[in-house]
Amino acid sequence: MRKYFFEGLALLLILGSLGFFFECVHYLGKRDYVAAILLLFVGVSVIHVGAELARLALVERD
Amino acid sequence: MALPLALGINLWIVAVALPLGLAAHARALAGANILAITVVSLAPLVALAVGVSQKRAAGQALALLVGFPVLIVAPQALAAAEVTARVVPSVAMVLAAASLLAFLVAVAQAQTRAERLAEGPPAAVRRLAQDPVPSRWRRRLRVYRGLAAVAVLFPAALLAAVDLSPSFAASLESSFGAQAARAQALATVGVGLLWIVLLRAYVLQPLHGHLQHDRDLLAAMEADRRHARHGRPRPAFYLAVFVALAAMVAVVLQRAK
Repeated sequence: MRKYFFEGLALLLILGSLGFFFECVHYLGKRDYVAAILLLFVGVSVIHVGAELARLALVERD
Repeated sequence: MALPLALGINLWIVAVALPLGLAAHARALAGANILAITVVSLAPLVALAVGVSQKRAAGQALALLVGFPVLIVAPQALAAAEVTARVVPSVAMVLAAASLLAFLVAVAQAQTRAERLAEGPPAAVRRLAQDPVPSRWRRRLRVYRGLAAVAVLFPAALLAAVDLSPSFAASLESSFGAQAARAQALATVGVGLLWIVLLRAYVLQPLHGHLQHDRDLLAAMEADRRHARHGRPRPAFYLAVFVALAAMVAVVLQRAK
């Protein structure tokens, strides 16, 4: 159960990070560079959290 | 080499001859050096002919996989951006990209066939026993397919947001005015570089380690197992959560100003 929870959450976070990159691109278009860089940080951090959860899910499998 | 030759000529028509004809029709070539245009336009055909006639695989690959594609995009790269944007419809770019892809696949397949012919027929051919695929391998295949899907989905979605989104184009137009096309090109390059960094860090590096049975990776997995027995993630997880939350709060505060 824990394994599936981690896997689902990891997938959600990794795909969800795409939304932050989308917003980052839109703020770049509006020349709001500070917001764009902050959203880039958010996107990379979220993808990193997803990767950590995927790692935990992998260990749970074994 | 008949198929690569046909696809190469097709690509030349789509990416060089057609835009050149449209530019001539729109009188966008006024003042340009006719000799230079002729040389730049015919250079890809020369590279194609050299590549097709080459016997050595290395020379053929250099001419067809490097020289020809570079020379094909050279005329449009050398032309003024405004002229290209005004004369060539955006659909033609998609057609040219598809033609280039088909050409590269055809050349790669032709080279593989030539290599097999050079090696000669195998001494004996025997069917492998068709045992059912073990669940471990089915699981691995699912992971590999998932990685392939992510490798396509992420850059495609980001490039679509930059190059096909009308709202993003409108934002660029209002922010940069006449420089909007250049800003869009810069954003496309930035998105491509971002994806290369993410792909390398989060897909290729772990996959490479996994495929090579890397000792460092095995040691890291053992450390992860020990961590998992405690039921707590690594400190990097908490750091990433903190950075994400802090950056989100900063965005909200910055937008609220």
